[in-house]
Amino acid sequence: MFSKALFKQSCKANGTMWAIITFAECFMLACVMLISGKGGMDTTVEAVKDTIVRQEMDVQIEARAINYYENQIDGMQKFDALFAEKLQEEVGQGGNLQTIVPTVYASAVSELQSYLYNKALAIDPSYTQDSDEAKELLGSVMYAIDPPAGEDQSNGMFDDFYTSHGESVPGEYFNSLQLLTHLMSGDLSEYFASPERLSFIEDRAEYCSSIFLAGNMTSPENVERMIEQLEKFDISSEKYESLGYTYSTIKQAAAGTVVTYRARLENELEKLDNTQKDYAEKVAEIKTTLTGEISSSFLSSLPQDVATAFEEIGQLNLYGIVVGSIFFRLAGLLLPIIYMIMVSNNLIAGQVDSGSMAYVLSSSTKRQTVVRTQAAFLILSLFGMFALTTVTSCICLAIVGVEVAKITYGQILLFNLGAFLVLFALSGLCFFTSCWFDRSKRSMAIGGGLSIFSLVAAMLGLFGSKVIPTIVRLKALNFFNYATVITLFDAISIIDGTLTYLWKFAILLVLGIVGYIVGSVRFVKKDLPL
Amino acid sequence: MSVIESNGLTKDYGENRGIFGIDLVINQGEMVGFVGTNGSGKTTTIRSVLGFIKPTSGTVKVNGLTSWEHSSEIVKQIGYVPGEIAFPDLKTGVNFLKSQAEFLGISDMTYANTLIERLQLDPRANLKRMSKGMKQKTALVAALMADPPILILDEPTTGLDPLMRVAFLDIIKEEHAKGKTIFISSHLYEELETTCDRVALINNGHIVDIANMSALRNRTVKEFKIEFQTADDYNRFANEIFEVIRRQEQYHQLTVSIPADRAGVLLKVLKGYSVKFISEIPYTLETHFKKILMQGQGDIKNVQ
Repeated sequence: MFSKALFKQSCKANGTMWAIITFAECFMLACVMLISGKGGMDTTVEAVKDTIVRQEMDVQIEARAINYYENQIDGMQKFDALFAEKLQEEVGQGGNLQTIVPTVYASAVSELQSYLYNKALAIDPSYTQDSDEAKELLGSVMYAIDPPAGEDQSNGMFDDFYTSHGESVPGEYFNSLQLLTHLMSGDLSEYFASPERLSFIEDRAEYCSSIFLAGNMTSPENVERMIEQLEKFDISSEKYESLGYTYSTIKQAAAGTVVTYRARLENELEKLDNTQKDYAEKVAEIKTTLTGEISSSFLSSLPQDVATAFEEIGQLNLYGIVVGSIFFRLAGLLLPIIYMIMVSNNLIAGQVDSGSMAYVLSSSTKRQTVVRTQAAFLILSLFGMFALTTVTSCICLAIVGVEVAKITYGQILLFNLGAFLVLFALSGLCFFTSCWFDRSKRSMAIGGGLSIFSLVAAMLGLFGSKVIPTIVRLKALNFFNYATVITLFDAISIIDGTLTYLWKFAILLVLGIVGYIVGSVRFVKKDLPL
Repeated sequence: MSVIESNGLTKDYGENRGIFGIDLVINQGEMVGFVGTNGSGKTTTIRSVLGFIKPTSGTVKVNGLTSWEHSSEIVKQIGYVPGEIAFPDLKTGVNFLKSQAEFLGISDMTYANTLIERLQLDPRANLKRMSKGMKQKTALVAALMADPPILILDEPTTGLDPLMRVAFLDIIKEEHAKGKTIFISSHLYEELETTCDRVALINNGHIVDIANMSALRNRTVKEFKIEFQTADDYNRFANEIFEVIRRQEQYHQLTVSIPADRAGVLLKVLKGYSVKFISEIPYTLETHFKKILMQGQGDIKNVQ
């Protein structure tokens, strides 16, 4: 079956090279695993993550602040109109103003409620009266109006909200005196549409929107929801707290945004001619642009690809990629491939070319035995090499710690197995060319050339693969991934914990076996120039 | 009993290269030489005999077994010294010989050691740094150490100095004396002339002639070259009864061919002449084969 003498001879002839390459490989592996384990790779990822989360949060705050501000202005204006309408109705029926006002407030509020609900439905038809979004929309306006409540109507309905956050209560919504004066003179509607009233509303919205936003965002249930959202970046509640989004910071940010927005909007509107037909459209346009500009984040101002890329980086298992995709799939393959090319050539083609195979074959060793023994030597020596890298990588992982590395022993074993299978498949090819050709230069050129090509293609392909964040990914280079068997070593699948790598491993195994078998058959049947 | 027997053995590499219709029978205990120019097909024939290459047609058998099909069995009987000396990738001659002993299943190295002593070989030397002669000796030890009944040597003396060559051939002759069947190829006629029983001449892949050396050595006709002092003597002798095969009048030289038992008659006749010198022209293998090759070419010319 096997020739012990030939196996020994192959060991003696190739043992030194095996030892040197294996040592170098294990040394390199240890360096990569230990250095990148201690090199604070996680800190980098954490920093990127923090940046992304901060940016996203800030955008949220800015966008919402403007949103609340606009909504409050709109709501208050609507409320004014409703109030004026109801008040005039009630006054027409006669009665004491003191008693009429609370009734008018109540009916105007209920009208406003349905108005805002319809507005919410226009945004998203799936909202219901009880949905958080509809409530929020209503709430933001109601808190700004802060209608009078209590026995003597002297306190606002939501005064508690303001005081609980240490803010002063926004004054009376309607100045009773002014209201009375305008009501008497019959120009209440005109008064409500006046710039004076508008600027009052704007001031109030500016003041209330940031308080409402900050209060809203720091309410326990909203914080919980936010953290839930942030889970895709792997952010815990402690982490969220450490980012420092407290009531005051949020309020500050929101207030700043609203001030900016208001100033810029005023500035833009001044330039517009309000007699034009499409005035309203233009105003809406300006508002969207401004909202976009002010609240545009680092992420949303970059092209979508870049945004995804940053998100990807935040989610990357960098250590797994360095060890799996960079070392075991590329850098760590080079030395074993060189060893494999040289040895597979030495085992058959080299000996046929030089003629030393004559001594083996003239000693009544069957060709079948020769080829089997040499194949066994090649496979076993590669297996031995990767057995040692497995031991090395497990020791290194133990030193680095599974917690820090974020890869398991199982994944490390799979990386080693994958690298071995790649070598097995390529050695099948080289063994085949070694058996096929009588000249070792030809066997080397074709078998070795294709093997090195596979490695180079995998390197180029890496830049087009999923490992590289979308922003710097060169899609054209992804083509190379289809031109190399190393693609069948799916390190990403191993890191992600999917099972795709299994069938790819099976293909590598089959490719290797085919190479060895076809090579063996050829060697047994061909003419040997010995 | 024939040990090696080839029947119409053909290995066609195309473009008239290869060997064509080789018929050769080597009997037990015979030493057969195989001579031909470089590229004439000697090595191809030997590879076929060992079963390393598959004949295009025809067969070659060793001890009744076809070479290609039973290569691993027939090589047990054969000690082979390849034409190109290339050793496996091992450090020293001792490593190589030990590894080879393991392949051959030899545990007793005494015979190998005797051979090493006889050849005055230092096998501890590094294989890569060995001189051509040392390599050749090492290869011979490897071929002989299992004491196989058949020896096949492909140009074993090429590149050896004359003294080494004699020593080398002596050992081969000894093996022959022990009754081994030996098939040796060479492109040098002389070394085969003195050692072989028969010598086959191969040219362009065809066996042109197989010369029986004992018949060549004991030819019944001998040739003598005689130079006379004067032109008179030269002219007078030309009219004698002897068969003259070559005349060189300017030197007063004549070459005569006479049956071996009539040499005395020639000497008697020459008594009456003033002879400058007389010498026997040896009939060597080289002359024999050259004559045959010339005839062959003549035939071809005639056909054309």
